[in-house]
Amino acid sequence: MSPPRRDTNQRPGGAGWHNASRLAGLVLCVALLASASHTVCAFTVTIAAAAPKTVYLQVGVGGFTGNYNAGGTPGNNATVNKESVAVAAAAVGNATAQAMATDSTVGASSYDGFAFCNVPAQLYIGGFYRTTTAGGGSVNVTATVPAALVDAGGDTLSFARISWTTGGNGPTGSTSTQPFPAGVFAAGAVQTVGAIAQNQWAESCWTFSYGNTTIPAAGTYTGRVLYTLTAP
Amino acid sequence: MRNSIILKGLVAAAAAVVPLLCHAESNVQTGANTAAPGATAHVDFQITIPKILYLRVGTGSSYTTGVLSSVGTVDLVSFAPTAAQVGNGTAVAGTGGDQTNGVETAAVVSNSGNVTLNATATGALGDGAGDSIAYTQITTTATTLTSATALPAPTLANGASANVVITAPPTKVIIQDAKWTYAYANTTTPPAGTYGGVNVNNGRVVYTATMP
Repeated sequence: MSPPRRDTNQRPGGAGWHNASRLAGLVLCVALLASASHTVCAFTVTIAAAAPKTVYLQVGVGGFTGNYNAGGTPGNNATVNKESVAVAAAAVGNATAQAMATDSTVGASSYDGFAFCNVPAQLYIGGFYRTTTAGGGSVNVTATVPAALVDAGGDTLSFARISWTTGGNGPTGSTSTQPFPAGVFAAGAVQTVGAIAQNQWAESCWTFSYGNTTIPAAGTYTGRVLYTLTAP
Repeated sequence: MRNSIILKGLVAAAAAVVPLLCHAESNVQTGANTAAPGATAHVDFQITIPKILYLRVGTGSSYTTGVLSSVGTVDLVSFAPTAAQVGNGTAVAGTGGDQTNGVETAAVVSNSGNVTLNATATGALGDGAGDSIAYTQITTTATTLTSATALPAPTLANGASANVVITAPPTKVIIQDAKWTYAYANTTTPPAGTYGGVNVNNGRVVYTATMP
């Protein structure tokens, strides 16, 4: 069971505010539950400044003890998730984008446990940037992208063939406000894939797809992307 | 007010039964370690491309638009020299074929290295009365269609033809087509009759493509 729907996007900060805001969201949820349809949501929320200065980044499955809004603590987990697709023989190179799926089983937010992403179609990405004092800065999340995926025979497939859309479950919201917006990989480059404001939690759900516009050599192509959240 | 109290009670109850769902790949850095590189995470990507081997001779799917599907239609190419032409050594053009006038579309699309192509007939064309015309009397001329190089055609024989090997580029991907124009060489004078036909009297040739 996951928590019920929550309010979204730029909620006021502070523990008291969180509780009041969440309760308001639940009231709204109760009112709209019968008629609410599946919609796409952004989710960012202000968090209280506190020591120590902290950056936290989560992509897919790993570990977080409890929920942030309930006093939980972030932790490290070395598990690396995989986004994959096996193209059907009849579809190879037919220009129909092929949806990728994750082996992550986590769709719940580490902020409040809300079932934000739909696995295996969507990959959770979230994190926070917390400083010891208030401020108006922000930090980018970057992706370090290899030039190509490679198979056992040395054949290559450009990372630029992979793109993603963004979303998340919730009662309201807009893709235009996603902290981690839609994009396409820049092969062999470091690119910005999102931003987190100072003293903010931010999260999105990514849906990856393979462009499938050409016929590559048969094989299983693999490659690893590094995501980085660095504070100034 | 009473409603509000009930609602808060429901919220508290919901919070109590919520499991700790947040177990996700993560990296946390604090203090000076928040600077470069800061917190990092990885995602692996995997795309599996199966082997594909597409062969079209005559009527078939629109491979030029990415449609690689099976079509069961078998075309008939016919030759009918006039009485005055029989055996005069002048080749006779055919009729039929998906491009008409004895011309067939031929194409190979593949992604796993060299492709070997051959053609197999059961035997010489027969007329049902014991007479025959050797398949060597039917020639195939390949000319370019959409690819820069025409797909070469096997030379027909009364049985299996010699193999034609289409060499793949370093990408291992072959997309090669041609117009195959069939002609009757007309260098002999066979007995009168109708030789071959629609899958009768050895009238059908089977083209086969293979790859590693």
